[in-house]
Amino acid sequence: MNKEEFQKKLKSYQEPLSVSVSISLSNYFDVIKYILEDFSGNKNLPIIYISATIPSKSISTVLDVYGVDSKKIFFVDCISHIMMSSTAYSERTVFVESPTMLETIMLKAQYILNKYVTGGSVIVIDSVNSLAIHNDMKILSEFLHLFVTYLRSRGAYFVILSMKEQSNDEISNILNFVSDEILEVE
Amino acid sequence: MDKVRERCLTGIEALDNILNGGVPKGNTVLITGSAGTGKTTMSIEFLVHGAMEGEKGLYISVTEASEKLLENLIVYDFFSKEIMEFILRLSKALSELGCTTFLVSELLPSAKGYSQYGVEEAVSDGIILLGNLERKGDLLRTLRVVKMRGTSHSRATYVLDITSIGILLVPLLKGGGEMV
Repeated sequence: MNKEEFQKKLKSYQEPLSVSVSISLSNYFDVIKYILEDFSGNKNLPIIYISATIPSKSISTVLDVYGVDSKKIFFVDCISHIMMSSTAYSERTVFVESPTMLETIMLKAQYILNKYVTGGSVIVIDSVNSLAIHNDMKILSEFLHLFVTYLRSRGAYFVILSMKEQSNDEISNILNFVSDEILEVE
Repeated sequence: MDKVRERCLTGIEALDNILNGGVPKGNTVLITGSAGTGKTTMSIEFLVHGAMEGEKGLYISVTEASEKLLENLIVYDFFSKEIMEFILRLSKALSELGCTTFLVSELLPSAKGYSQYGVEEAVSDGIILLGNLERKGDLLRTLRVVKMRGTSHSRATYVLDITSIGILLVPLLKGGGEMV
C-alpha cells in the first residue's frame, strides 16, 4: 500500500491490536512519523518506543526535524549501550544494556506503563530484524508472544516494524504468529 | 476444596500473583541468594508496603555481625549451635505471635541446599530463591519460589528488576544459562 493508504489504515483501528509494518530504508522515518502522529496522536495515547536499530537520541533528533511532538514518547533504548553511545539520564528514556536482554526490555516497558501511563498505549518495536541479529529465533518468538499478549491485555496497541531488505522466512513466520495484520508500505 | 488461609501481601504485585494472593499469614519465609541478588531490597519492600497499610514491621539487621560470626564460626563451633538455636527460638516465637516473617540469608556459591546452616530452610514454611543468571554475557537477576506451605504457587523462574516503583517481575525466557 502507498503512504496515503497506510495513514488511512492506521486511523481506522479502534480496538487494541498487533500490527506488523514492513518498511524499507527509504521510507523508514516517514512511516515512523505516521505511526507517532496519525496513529497514537489521533488517539491521544502515549508511546513506548523500543529502539533496537538506532539510538533513541538519533530518533529524537530526527523527530524534532520532522516537527513531531515527542512529549508523549518514552524510549526503551537497547542499542546505545552496546554502540558505546551516550546513555545520559533522561526522564523519558530508559536504557537496556543489550538487545539480548529481552526480559529486561519487558521489565522496562512495564516500569514505564506502571509509572507514567494510565489507560491505553502504543508500543512500537523498531525493529524485529535488529532484535533477530542479536537473538536466536526461538527466544525471539517466545519474547514477542509473551510481550504482545501481556501488554495487549493492558490495552496496548502493538506496532512491530520489519525492514523489507533484511527479512526472511523465519521472521515472517514469527510476525504472522503475533500479528493481527501485516501491512507493507511502499 | 482446600481451606483458604489468610494472606499477607508482600506488596510486590507479581510475587503476590505467583503465590496466589500472597504469603499465608504466619509463615516464616527464607529469602536466600548470593550477593547482590536483591534479598535486602525485597525484605525492605515487604516491610514498607506493610507500613503503608498500617502494619507494624521489624527489621533486624545483623549484616555486619553475621559476617564476623561467619568468620569466627570456623574457629568457634559453638557459634554455629547458638545461631541455630536462636533462629529456631525466633521462628517459633514469631509464628506464635502471628507474625509473617522473612528470614534473609546469604547463600555462598559453594553452599548445598538453600541456606548456610541448614536450620534456616528447616524452620521455614517457604523459600524464595534469588539468583543471578548468566546468559551470553548478560547477568540477569532471577527469583523462584521453591516452596510455600499453605498455598499453591508457581515454581517457574522469573527475571527481577529493582526500580523506583518497587520490584518488577517477568517470566524467564527459555534461552539457556545456569543460575550462579
